[in-house]
Amino acid sequence: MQLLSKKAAMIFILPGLILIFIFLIFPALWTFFLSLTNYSLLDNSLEFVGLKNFFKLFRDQRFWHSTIVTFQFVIGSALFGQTALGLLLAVMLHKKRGIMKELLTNFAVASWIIPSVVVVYLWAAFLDKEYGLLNQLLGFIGVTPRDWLNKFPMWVIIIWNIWRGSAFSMMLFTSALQTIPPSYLETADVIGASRWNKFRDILLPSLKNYIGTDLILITLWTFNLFTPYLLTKGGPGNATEIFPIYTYHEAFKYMQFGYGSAISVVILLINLGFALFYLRSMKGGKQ
Amino acid sequence: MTQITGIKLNSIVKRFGDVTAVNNISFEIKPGEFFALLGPSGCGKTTTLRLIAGLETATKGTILFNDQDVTRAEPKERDIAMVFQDYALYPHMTVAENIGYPLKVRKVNEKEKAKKVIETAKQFKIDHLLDRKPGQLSGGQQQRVALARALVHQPKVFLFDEPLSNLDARLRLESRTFLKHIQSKLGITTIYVTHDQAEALALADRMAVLKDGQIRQLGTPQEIYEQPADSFVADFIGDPPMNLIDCRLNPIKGNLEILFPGIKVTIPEEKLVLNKKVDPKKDYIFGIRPEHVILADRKGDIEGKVYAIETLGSMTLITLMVGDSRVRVNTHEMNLGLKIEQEVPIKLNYDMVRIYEKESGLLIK
Amino acid sequence: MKDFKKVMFRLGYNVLVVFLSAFFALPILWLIFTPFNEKPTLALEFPLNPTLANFAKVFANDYTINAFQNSLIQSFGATFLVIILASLAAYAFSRVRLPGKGIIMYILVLFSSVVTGIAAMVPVFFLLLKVGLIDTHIGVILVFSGGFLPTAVFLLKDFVDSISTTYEESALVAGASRLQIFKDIIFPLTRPGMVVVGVFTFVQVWSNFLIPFLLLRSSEKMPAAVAIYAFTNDVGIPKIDLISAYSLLYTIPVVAIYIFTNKKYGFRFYGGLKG
Repeated sequence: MQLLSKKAAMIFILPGLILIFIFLIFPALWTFFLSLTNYSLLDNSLEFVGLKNFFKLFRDQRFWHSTIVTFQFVIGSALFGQTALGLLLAVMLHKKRGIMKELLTNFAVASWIIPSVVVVYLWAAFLDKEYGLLNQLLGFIGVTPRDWLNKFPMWVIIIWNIWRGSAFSMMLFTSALQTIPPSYLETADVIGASRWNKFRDILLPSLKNYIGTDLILITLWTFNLFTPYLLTKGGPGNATEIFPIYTYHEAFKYMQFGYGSAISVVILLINLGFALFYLRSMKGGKQ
Repeated sequence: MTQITGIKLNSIVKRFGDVTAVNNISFEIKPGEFFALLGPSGCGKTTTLRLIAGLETATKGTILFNDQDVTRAEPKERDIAMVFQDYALYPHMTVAENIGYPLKVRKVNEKEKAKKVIETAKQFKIDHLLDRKPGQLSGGQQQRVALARALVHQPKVFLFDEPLSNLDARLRLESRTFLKHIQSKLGITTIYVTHDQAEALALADRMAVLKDGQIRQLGTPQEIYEQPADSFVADFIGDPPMNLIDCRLNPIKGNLEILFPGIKVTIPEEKLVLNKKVDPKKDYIFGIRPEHVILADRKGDIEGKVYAIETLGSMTLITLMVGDSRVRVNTHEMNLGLKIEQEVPIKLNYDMVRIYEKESGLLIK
Repeated sequence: MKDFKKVMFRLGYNVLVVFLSAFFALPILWLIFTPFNEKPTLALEFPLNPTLANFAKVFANDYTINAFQNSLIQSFGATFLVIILASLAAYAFSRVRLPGKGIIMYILVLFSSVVTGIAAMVPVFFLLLKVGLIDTHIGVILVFSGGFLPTAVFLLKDFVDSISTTYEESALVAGASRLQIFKDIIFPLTRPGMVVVGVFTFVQVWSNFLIPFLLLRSSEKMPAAVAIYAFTNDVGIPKIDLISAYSLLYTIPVVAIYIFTNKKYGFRFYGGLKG
């Protein structure tokens, strides 16, 4: 006896599925088609050009430059930044109490939840050459003011993204640490293990799966992050033109939809790789 | 007054896809009877109950309530009540709202509803809890609320799906007694599903033992305890369980040789009359309940070696090695002065011995 | 020797805590102090004479108020749509044995994590252009809903799965009609899950910049996220007084919701939901 007949169940499901299909699945498939055309909003042309866009893309210096910059951004801010710092924060604050812990976690979380537009203003103010807090503080120890955004743009967006996202990894690892039975660490204390031993032999192995999950998710998100555009517009020049910004420039600034779609296809395929990897690791983790 | 209902199941089959949960079950429950469905998990007992409730629809066969066909009727047309294993008390409603819910959906007016709720709550001694939410109650209290909710609209049939299994041992015993009392007093036809043989024996007027979707035995608790129809029922019913020992039977000139693993007993044929001619090449199971194995003073039928002695308060459970088999002996005598590994003579009450064919499991004595 | 090592460790630990606290806190201080200064600048100054004048300016400005209204329309619109559609689908997915259910769920979750960010916006932009939904609230709401629905369905299905079917069955046996069961039992039991999904959708839409930035054209439809950004674009000199007060007002709902949900549901909620 079910409250819903199969027919009624279909009626329950259908509206959601239709919406998802039209606004999520269909566009993704459509990009593949668009990438094979020369569609441009500027002259409204639409012709089938085969793989021409892809050949053009792979010969495009800017594409390869963007690849390198994206790689630096993802490796720097996702792998070494958020995951490592998140792990450090979670481990160093595990089982700690007090005002300093509260302060540190709350500010870390705040930097994660504040809307990105606001965050961009905060950093623009923080890094400003003349008035910015960073230069003022460095001035106290005798460092001359610098135009950080223009002189070290890659460093800025990497550190900005570490600041922005570490809280997620921290919270993920913190909740993972809470699932470790206290008796594990107590046993280690009884047999006289050092801090490093406890970290390496007890905490790290218990976190292994979580670190894997965290890495895939963070990498996927960072790889698709558009917000650095608000900070640097991809510049100066195209110094920080990571994939999402490159796509934006081609598709929305120059209105080359066919070409922009080709870039999208490349990004979507890379995303697919990450997502399949993620879903597989989730499945593995459950067993 | 509640109308007393009899229930009849005719050749009921229930399939879920390729799985046959209930395979051609027929039985009849008399009006006012307390009927238990007993069996291990996956035997089809809960499915049978859900078919009677109308929560599942039978693939084949018919279900009658007082000769009225309800096979395809909705649960609400059957006028039944059911208590679930997890009680299913609505967490967002107070105890009073929970008990009153069957009345609310029957559009009983507020005044009468309130009266009935208080009346029923008093009967179950939970009237002081009416304003609480189920989450604030103990397991025993929750169970009483579930019972009250089930009984408030005076159903024709009362269905229980393992209602005691979430309680701790002592409370389970207390609730069992309470349940038996309430049912006897109200006389509502009751079907009770459980995997606990002691519960079924204690509560039921009659019971059915199920396995693999089929009824293995149907009868009063006493019949089923004393005369298990096959080796499965023999093994399933009783605590401590029946001694079941593989053996060969060999009739020789008016005597019967019983060959146990590692030991042989010869008895006069008339002591163990079988209703089937024995085949010396076939395997049999020799069954005897622990209380029918008696420690003999001097000369017994057979000798055993003490393996373990467990004091259970009112009785002592002694496990012996007889040949290569373990035999449980249940005795009310305490302080027997036995030592481990000691040789003890034992006697068997041959009247209460049951013999099963090993292959078919069928009872031949 | 052992004591010396211990002291050094503790010293190092504290220095690290202070440094990291500063790292996370310093950029945020500007948001806390600046809106209350009489003459806000990019520099961090503690408001010695705190004033609400900057907030008054925000409320006096039609454009900013309008942007807040747009944010509310889009956030509530998407939240409402996601809750309704996701609840219906999740209940059916959870309770009814449907063929191909597992595969559908898998595809939904896969697509929702793959089709994200700007790469997804290229065809979506084109689609909205074709069907005439570009530069409309409804277009933005539908795109958000399509993106969040898979996650919402997945989470709510998990939630409904955790609700024992015996609640519904006991109501059935008690004699309730289907409508009564939905109203009295299923809806109240599912409500906490719906709240979680709704809050999640609301915060995400409220904070999102990319989608309205790309799919809306006219300034009277822009939500707060894009409107703030426009303060530097249209005007030669950034209006820091307006920006700072506006940023704080815009951030407060998100922080408030975070505090509320974190208290009620813990991190599992946010962690499972983000992205």
